[in-house]
Amino acid sequence: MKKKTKILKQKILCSLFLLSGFFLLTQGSLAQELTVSGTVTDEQDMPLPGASVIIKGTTMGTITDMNGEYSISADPAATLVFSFIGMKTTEIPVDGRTVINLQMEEELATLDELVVIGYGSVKKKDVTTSISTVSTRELEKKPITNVAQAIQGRAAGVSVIKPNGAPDAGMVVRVRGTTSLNGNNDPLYVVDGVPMTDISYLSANEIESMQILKDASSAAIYGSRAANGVVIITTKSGESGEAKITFNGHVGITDLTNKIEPLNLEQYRELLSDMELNISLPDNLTDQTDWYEETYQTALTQNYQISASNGDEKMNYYITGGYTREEGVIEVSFFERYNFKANLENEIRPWLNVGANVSYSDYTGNGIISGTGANRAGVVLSVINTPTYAPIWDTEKPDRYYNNFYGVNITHPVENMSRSEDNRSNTQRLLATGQAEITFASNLRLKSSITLDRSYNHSVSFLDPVKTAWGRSNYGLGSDNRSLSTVMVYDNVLNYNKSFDNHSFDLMAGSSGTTSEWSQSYQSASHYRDGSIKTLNAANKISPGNGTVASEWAIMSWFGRLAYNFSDKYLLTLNMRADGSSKLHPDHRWGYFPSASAAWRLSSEPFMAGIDWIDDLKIRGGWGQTGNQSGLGDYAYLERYNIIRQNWWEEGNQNATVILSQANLRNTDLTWETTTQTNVGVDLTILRNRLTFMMDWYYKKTTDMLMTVDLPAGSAAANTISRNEGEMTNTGFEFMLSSHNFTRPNFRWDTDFNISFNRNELTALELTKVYNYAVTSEFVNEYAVRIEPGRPLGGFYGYISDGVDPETGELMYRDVNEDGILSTTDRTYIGDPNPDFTFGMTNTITYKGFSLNLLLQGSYGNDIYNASRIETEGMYDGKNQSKAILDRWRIPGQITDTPKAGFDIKTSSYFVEDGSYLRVKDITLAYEFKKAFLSRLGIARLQPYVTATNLLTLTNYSGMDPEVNQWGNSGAVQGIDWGTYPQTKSFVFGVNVEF
Amino acid sequence: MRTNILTKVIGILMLLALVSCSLDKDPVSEFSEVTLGRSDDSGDRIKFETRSEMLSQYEGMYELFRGRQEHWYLDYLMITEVRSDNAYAGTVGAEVMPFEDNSLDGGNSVITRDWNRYLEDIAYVNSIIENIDLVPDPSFSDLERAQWKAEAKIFRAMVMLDMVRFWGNIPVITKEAEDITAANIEEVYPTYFPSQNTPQEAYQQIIKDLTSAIPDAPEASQNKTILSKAVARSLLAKAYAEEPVRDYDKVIAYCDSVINDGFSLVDDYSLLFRMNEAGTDIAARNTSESIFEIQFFTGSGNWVT
Repeated sequence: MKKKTKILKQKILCSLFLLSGFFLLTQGSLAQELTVSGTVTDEQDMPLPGASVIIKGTTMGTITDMNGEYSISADPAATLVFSFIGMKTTEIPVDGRTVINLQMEEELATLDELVVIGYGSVKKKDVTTSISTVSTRELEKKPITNVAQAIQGRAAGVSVIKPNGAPDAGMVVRVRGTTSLNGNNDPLYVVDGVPMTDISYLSANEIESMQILKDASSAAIYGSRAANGVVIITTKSGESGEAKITFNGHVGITDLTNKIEPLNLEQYRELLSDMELNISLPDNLTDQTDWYEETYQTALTQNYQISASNGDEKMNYYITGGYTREEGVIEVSFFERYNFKANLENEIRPWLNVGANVSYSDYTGNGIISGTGANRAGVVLSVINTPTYAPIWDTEKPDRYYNNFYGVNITHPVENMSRSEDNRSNTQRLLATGQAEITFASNLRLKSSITLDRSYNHSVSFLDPVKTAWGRSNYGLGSDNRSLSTVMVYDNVLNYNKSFDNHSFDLMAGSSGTTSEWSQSYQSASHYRDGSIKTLNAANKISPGNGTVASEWAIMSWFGRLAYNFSDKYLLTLNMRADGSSKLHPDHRWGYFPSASAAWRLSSEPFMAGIDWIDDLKIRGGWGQTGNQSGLGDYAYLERYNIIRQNWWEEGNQNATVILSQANLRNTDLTWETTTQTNVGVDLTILRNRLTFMMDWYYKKTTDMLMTVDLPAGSAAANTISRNEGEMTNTGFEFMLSSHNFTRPNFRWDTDFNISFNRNELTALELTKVYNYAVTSEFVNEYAVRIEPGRPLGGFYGYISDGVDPETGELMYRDVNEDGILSTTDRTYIGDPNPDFTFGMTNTITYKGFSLNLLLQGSYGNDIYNASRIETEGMYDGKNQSKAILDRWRIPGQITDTPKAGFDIKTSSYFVEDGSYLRVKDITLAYEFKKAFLSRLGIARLQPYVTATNLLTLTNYSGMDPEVNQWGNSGAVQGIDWGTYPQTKSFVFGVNVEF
Repeated sequence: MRTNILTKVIGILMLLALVSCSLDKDPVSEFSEVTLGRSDDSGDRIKFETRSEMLSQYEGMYELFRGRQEHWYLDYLMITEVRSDNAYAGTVGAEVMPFEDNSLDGGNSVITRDWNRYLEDIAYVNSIIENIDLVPDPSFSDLERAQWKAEAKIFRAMVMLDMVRFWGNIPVITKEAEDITAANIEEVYPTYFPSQNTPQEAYQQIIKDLTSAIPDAPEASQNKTILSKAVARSLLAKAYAEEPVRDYDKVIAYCDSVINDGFSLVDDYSLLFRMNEAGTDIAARNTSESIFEIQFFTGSGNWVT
């Protein structure tokens, strides 16, 4: 059954149930009527429970039961009106028949769909702000472990990047660009009304709807944490009259998307001789190990979710549980999650509705050593850097990995994987919400809720004392870190609405308090006897750095909203909000953030009345401010001190206590970072809801931008300060088109397209004007990214390379300042990781029981700094290299793009590449079995499906994959490929079953 | 029903009032201005309130020698010995090779690190020198204050002597900059972004620090880990040997006074560089030959041990 917004539906169902009871009572008194019965089904021939059947011109009617069947007494000449939310209302004359079956058609009108706007919801046609709704229909068929993946390519103005291919990789989500340099840039997630920053506990199957509030006016209502946009997620709940058990399961495989070939032994020997290194390999070596084979695997991914739900007019529940496991293509990495959730709602008095949501999730992951070279155990680079002659195990000491590379300082990838093989990070998260809604009058309601969001993380690591070189030099290492975080959220929201004549008012006022307590214990030890017992009690030497820490923060907010609607033509929303944060200086702790938005529905004007083909035309505009403080440390404004332990075992230190050293400068001005955003948009729906357009232009300006300022050393006892230091702007345009190309009952084809343009600029910094980031290869040891006012964030900075000198084979660098010598002053901006635009297109084709869903997604105009190539094509020492260097310069006069072995490597445009790509992100083919066939088996629904993700990528990028950033979620550093865990493609087979 | 609603409304109003939670949170596991120092009667801040708070700063000064051995020891050896060809660079990495092949420029990470760390060390002791006389603790004797301050000045001179010999022009910073606020930012900006001084000015400050420290600094003793009068005198001897303030008479005079402090060469030269018989520790500490020692013991996890 197609999911529509539930809230409204439940209400309607409730009232229909009540009505039908009344009808049943009155039916007996009517005479000379036929009993008409039949079955109502949807487009997929699925029974449609809860559809209303009313005799036209009366208030008499009934609703269909669980099997979509109804029975009604009607005059032979009467007309029956069949209606159901989301379906076309159909009128059928009885004409004396006693059986009337109906297959209802889905209604395309989406204008009456409810859109969740934060502490409330409105009809889509009444939205005055910029909100993207993410389709959740196909979610359960995708192998999605992190819910943010579901947004990728599906919402205009929202950029989603999976910065690496690790199974437990966090997603990088940016709503309308980066607003903060080293503060937090993640959107706020609000799951069932609970604000949070991490949603990795959530299974995609639990999600009912997902909406993204993009502009200030919509996000403002979550003001204190909403500067980066808000993703509102509503999870599933039980439905009236539908006792059902559903099962969704899929199993599949994942594989590398791409491979970079290393040299074979012969080519490697040739390289060594070209380099004139003092490395002499014995003659008897052979190509014996394919390091890709040993490092990468075809990995298994699996997901099973089961749920049970039911409800009546007063009560409903939804219980779900599941298990997900995704193994990494690099063997030691994985992600595993057990999830459980129960939603319960009950109307215990006509004026009192109580509910509870309890969700518990237990997830575990492990990663690899990445973002570093083969000399420091980087797994991804060592696959190419390890010569093929090496075996895995040392032949003489078979309990150790092979480690003799004839003077080349590397360790092989199997050893490097082994370094993290016993590491685990486990999180247990409990989210429990209790809520009560009191209805004082039909138009005055108060909703109060208390939420406990508790998460316990336990991370352990262990390094075997024998197998690896690093393990041997440390005699084994172990660590055990545990942290407990408890966030409590107290919300009270009062809603009042009043309509008269053409005026309609919606008033909302509320308060929200959040408190957080966090504590951590961190222990490590070394000197293990062997690898058999891994807990710290088996280590002889306990680290002097062990300890426990704790911290607290709190936020308090008051807010109000007034929405005014004049005859569906003129719509106005005003918000006001006050936020206080414990992280800010007591004198500047409170911030006040107003916002307003308005819309004019031209299509409701009389002068548009004659224009049939326009269903809805609306112009929206909004302005507002939102606050941000999330990137700050818990006590950022205070002068704090580092604690340094003295070695108590040294002479004279027996009773010494700790030493204190000032950590930072205090800031008596520290206050909210404010983002002021202006948004203008147009919504247009035409051709009987066939085509929907949404366009938005925005201008976002962040002032008092919070950041940790690095000051020159020497002037004060510390040289960092948390300050409201700079300004940044983001300007953009986004466009969304949704088209129902074909809408025949047996053949439907829908296309959704979105494209987003964003321009980012750091406009001002007050103290230090230049910041450098991203040192990659130790051999080059230069910053690759520079940030300064007047530029977009993340610009690559280095030398311009002018190709290979045919005479010398050297890479030529440009003397930019023309002073005759090449020095650091010749560095300049050599690339920009910010895309010109990103886009996504979804096509869904349904033919009878078959449905095909295809998502194309891509990015254009962004550069990637491929630092991995320094290690795989740099030819600076005896590491094995990729086959790309077979084209290297060898004799004078040779024209080639690849310089000679041993060329002068600098951070330069030689390593900057175009990162544009177009990707077939996923394809799903599903088949819905006929109901008639299934009912004999006692099954209500059966839908097998296959999904392929990352099937095909079109790009000129030479690295493993263009969707990459070793710096993950950083605001300042983007698009750097540096030994990064590569992306994967996957094929899954799954099934949805409903009983 | 009416009263019912009334009570509910009152209940709700109370609820709304109750949710207002406190925003005053003090650090749980960090020392900060909440736990250290206080404000005096006129509202000015006293950074350190007790002798014990200052003691932790004083002990921290000596910890700087040991906890940050890169610039004090490893880089110092490399910059001096590799450039003089007494040693080779130990790796092919870009941070080290320029010292070997004399292609050093401002982008080098080693000298960037050292510059910052030397200046951080100066700032650390400036905080002691500036604040020690303000500590309102009657149990903190004037004698002790003067001695710690003298040690801090010797420390500062020692850092500046290394810096001026490496870089020539350096900022000579002897004051702790004020808090940065929106109101005073124009005013304090130059103190946070100081201009560089000439070597001449740097040497003058070094000499001033050392000579003013000598009267209060501790006498040379068996414990060589203290910045004593003898340390100050030997640094003065080194400083006066440098070109901008060269005065060989003073060099000789200060060298003589160091000898008079009771130092003598050890008989067995190898004693200075040897491990003990068991190979578990160095052969000797606090020999008659050493003027100042930074001592490392095994077990600390430090690179040097």
